[in-house]
Amino acid sequence: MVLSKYIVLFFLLITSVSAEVKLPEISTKQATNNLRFISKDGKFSYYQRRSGSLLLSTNYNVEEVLKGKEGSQYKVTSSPSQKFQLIEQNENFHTYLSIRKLNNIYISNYGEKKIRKIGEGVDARLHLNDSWVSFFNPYKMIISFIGLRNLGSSFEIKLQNTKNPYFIPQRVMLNDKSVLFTDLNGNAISGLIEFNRNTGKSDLLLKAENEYSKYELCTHKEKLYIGSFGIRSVSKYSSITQYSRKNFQISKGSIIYDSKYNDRGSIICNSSDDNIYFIQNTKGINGEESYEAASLDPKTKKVSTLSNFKWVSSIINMDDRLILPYHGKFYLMNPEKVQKTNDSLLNKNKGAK
Amino acid sequence: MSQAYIFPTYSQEDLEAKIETTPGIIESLLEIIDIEKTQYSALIKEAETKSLLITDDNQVKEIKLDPFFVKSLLLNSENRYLNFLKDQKDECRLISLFQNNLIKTSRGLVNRVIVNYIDKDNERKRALLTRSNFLELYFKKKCINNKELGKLFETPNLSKTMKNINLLTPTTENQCIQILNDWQKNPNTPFLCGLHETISRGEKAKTILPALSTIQRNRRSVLQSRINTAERLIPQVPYFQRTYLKNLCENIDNQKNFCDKYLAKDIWSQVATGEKPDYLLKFKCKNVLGKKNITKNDLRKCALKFKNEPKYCLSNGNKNHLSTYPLENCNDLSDSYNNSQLVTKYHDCPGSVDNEGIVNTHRLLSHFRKSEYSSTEFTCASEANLTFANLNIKANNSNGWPLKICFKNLATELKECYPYVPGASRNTNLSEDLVISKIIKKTERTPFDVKCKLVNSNIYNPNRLGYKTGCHIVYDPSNCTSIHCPKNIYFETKLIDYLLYEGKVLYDYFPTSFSNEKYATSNLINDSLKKESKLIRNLTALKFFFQNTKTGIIHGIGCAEDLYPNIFQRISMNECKPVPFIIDGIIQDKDKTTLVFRGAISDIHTPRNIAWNMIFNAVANYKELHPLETWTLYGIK
Repeated sequence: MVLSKYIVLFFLLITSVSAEVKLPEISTKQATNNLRFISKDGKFSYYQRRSGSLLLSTNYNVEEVLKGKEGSQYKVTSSPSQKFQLIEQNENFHTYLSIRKLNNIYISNYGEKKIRKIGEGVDARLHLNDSWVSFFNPYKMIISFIGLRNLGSSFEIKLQNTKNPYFIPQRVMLNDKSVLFTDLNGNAISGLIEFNRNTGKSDLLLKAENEYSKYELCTHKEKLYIGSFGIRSVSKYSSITQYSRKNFQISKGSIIYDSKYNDRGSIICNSSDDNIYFIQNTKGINGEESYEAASLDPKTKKVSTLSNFKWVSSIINMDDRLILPYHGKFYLMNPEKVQKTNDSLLNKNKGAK
Repeated sequence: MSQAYIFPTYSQEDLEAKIETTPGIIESLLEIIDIEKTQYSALIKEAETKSLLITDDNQVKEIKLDPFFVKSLLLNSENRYLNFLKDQKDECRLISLFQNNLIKTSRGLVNRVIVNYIDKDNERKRALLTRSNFLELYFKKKCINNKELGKLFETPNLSKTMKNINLLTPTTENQCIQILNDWQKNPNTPFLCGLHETISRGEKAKTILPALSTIQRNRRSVLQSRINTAERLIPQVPYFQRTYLKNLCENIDNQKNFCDKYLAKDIWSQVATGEKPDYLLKFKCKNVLGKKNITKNDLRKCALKFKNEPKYCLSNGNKNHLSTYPLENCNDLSDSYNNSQLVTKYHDCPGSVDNEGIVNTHRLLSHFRKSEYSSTEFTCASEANLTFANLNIKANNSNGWPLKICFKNLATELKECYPYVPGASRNTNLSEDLVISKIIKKTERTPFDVKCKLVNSNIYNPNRLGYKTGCHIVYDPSNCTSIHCPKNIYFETKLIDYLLYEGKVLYDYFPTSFSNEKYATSNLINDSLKKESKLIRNLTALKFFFQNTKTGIIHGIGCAEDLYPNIFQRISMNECKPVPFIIDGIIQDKDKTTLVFRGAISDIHTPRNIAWNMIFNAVANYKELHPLETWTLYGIK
C-alpha cells in the first residue's frame, strides 16, 4: 500500500506512569490540532488551516474543499455506511462566542472534495445507511431531515422544549417513516417520542421520572439502544436497553446494563466490533467519583474499563477508530482493531515507540 | 415557677392583704393564672383608691414594687426574660426588665405600678403610681446605673450607642456558649432586648392594624403609637444588629437555637441574619415568589425553604432568565456561596443574550464595579449588551459595537445609520426601542414624539384598539435572542419595511492575533478596570491566587463538551464549543479540592462546584484550537 504523504499515523505509548489501563496516544505528521477526520483505512484525511480552508489530503495530493474566513472551524463526520461526509463550518469560531450559533452544513461523497450546502444548524447526523441527514436549529427548536436518496424529500420536527435553550435532541430513524427523538416538556422533563411521517403525529413513548435524567439514542445494524442517565445526584441511575430496530416496541427491550450511579453516557454503538462504548461513573469500582471510558459486550453484558484518566468527558467514533480526547491529546481506545487493518503505518508506530 | 425569682425585699410582709396570696397546691396552672387575674384586679381596685402622684421624693422614705405586683409580673412574663433574674440577688436586674417593658402583668404591658412605700410618718402604704413616676422616684433611691444605661438607649444617643456595641458572631460552639453566657450577665442586654421588643411590637402592630375596625379607636391609637415608635428606632439600628438582637433576645435562654443560627454553615441562614449580602438570595427569592420587590420577611421565608428543601433549587429560581437547566441543589449552592466572591447584584439571562462573551464581560465588570441592575425579563439582556457596548465605545473601538439600524433618507437620498443596543433599556439612548422611535419620527414626519414598544407576537393583535395607534416592535419569543431576533415594526398598523438591521458583534475575547491584541475584550476589561491579569497555569497557581485576594476572580475559555459533558457531546476530532467562564472561589474539603464555577451559559445565581481537572481539560482542548495556542485562563485582582 502506498502511504499518504500526509497521513502518517502512529501511536506512542505515552501514558501516565501510574496508569493501570494504558491507551496509546495518537500522533501524526500533520499536527493533530489541524486534523478533522482520518478515514478508517488511512487513505485520506481532512484537515484545516488557520487561513480558514478545509483541505482533503489523499495519496500525494492535497485539495481545498472549502474556503472560509480566517479562523474558521470545521467539524467532519461520517457514518459506518461510508457513503457521505458531513461538514459543519463555523466561520466565526473565535469571534462569535455563541453555543447556539448556526453553522453552515455541507455534504460530500465519502472522501471526496465536491461539496454542497444543505442547510444551517448544529449537530448534523447521518441516518439509515446514509439515506437521510438531520440537523438542529436551536433558535427555532426544529430538527430538519433531508433525504439524500431522493432530492427534495424533507421534513421537520418542532420540539416543545422552552425551558433549556441549550438542549440538543437525540434522534434516530427506525425506517423512512419513523423517527425517534428526545424532547423536554414544559417542566423540562425528558421524553422519548416517536414521530410518524405518514400521519405527522408524535407519540410519547417514555417519560423520565423527573427533570434530572436524560435519554440517549443509538442505532447499529438491526439494533437500537436507549440509554437513560441521571444528571443530578437526586436521580442516581443509569441503564442501557437493547431493542430490535425492525420490530421496535418500547415495552420489548432488554436491559443490558444498569448502574446505581450517574454515568455520563455518550454512547457509541456503531463500532464494527458490535460492542457498546460509553463513559462510566466508576465510583462503584474505585470508591471515588471519576469518569472513565468503558466497553459493554451486549451479549455477555460484561463491562470493561478502558481508561485511567478520572475525568473523561468525551469519546469519539471516527470511522471506526475509537478516540478519547484528553488534555488536548488524543488516545486510541481500540488500537488492536486498527492494527488489523491494512495500515502499514502501524509498523512505523512500533518503531516510534 | 415564680418562687425562684422572689427577692428578699419583695417577700410578703406586714401589709394586710385583703386577698389570698398563695394559691393552693392542687390547682392547675390555668386555675392559678385565673385566680391571679382576679386577685390582681382586686388589688388594682384597692390601689386605685390611693392613686398617687409623688412629686417630691421627701414624701416617701422607702419605695418598692408591691410583692403581689411582682408576683403577677413573674407569673405573666416570658420565661426567657425571667432567666435574667436567675441566681441574681440584684433587684436592679428586675428593674431593668421592667424599665424595658420585658415583663408584664396579666393585663399586659405595665403603665401603672402598684407600690409599697413608707411615708414620711413611717407608715407603710400601698398605692398606684404611673410607671414613669415610679422609675423617677426609684432611681433617686436605688439603681442609679439603670437610669444612666437607659439614657444611652434613648433616641438622641441610640445611633452612637449601637455603633459602639460589639455584637460578636461565634464561629465555634465553645465560643458561642461563652458569648451567650456573657450576654446573659451583661447589664446592657435588657436594654438591647427592649429595643428588639419595641421593633417587634411595631411590626406586629402593622399587621394587626389594617384588620381593626375604625370604631376601636383606643386600640388603633395604641397600635399606631407602637408602629411610630418602631419606625423611629429602625433607622438607628442596622439590619445586621436587628437580626442579631432578634436571635439573641428570642433565644436568650436557649443556647441551641441561638448557636444554630451562627454555626449553621448554610448560606441561606447567613443571608437571613444579615451576615452575608442579600443579593446571594434576593434574586432567586424574587423569582420563586414572583415578586418585584421582596422584604426581609420574604428573604427569611426563602432561606427557610432553601435550607429545608435542598431539591427545590434544582428546578426553581431562574424563571424568565433562561440558562442551562436543571440548576443545582440548594446545599451545593450553599457550599459554593460559602467560598465564592463574585458580586452579583443583578440577574442576567444568558439564553436571551446568546453571546457568551458578552455575558461573561458583563459579569466581570459588574463584579469589580459592584454594579446593580433591576434585571427584569425585559431588561436582563439589554443590561449585558449595554455593558459590552459601552466598554467598546469608550475604548474608541468603532468595530467593537457594529450593530446599526439603517434607512434611506428620502430627502437627502443618503443612507443613514444609527448604532443601537438590542432590547429595551431606560438607561441609554442606544436602546433599540428609542433608536427606532427616533428614526420613525424622522421618516414618518410626525409632529409628535414617537414611542415604540417591544411586543411579544403572541400578544400583539392589530385588531385591538391598543395596537391600532402608536409604534410596536413585534418579535417572536420562540425565535428571539438579543443577537438573533427577527422583528416586524408597525407604526399606526402600517408595516415599516425600510429599516435594515446591520452588523454583527464580532470580537476577540482573548487576543487571536498580535495585530488586534489591543481591542481584545480581555484587554479592554483590564484597561477599563485598570487592573492586570495573571496567567493561571495549574492548581497550585490557582490556590495561590485565591490565598492572596478577597476580591479577585479568574476568567477563561474552555470547551463546553468538557465543562458540560451532560449537555454537549463531542462526536468528531477537535470538536469544541468555546464557552467563557468565571472561577470565583475554591472549596477545600479534607483532601478534595473543587472550584466555584460560573459558566457563561449557566444561571449567574447557580454556581457549580467542579473539579480542577474538568477546567484543565476544557482549557487544554481549546488551547489546541486557538490561533496563538494561548492558555486561556487568567486571574484578575
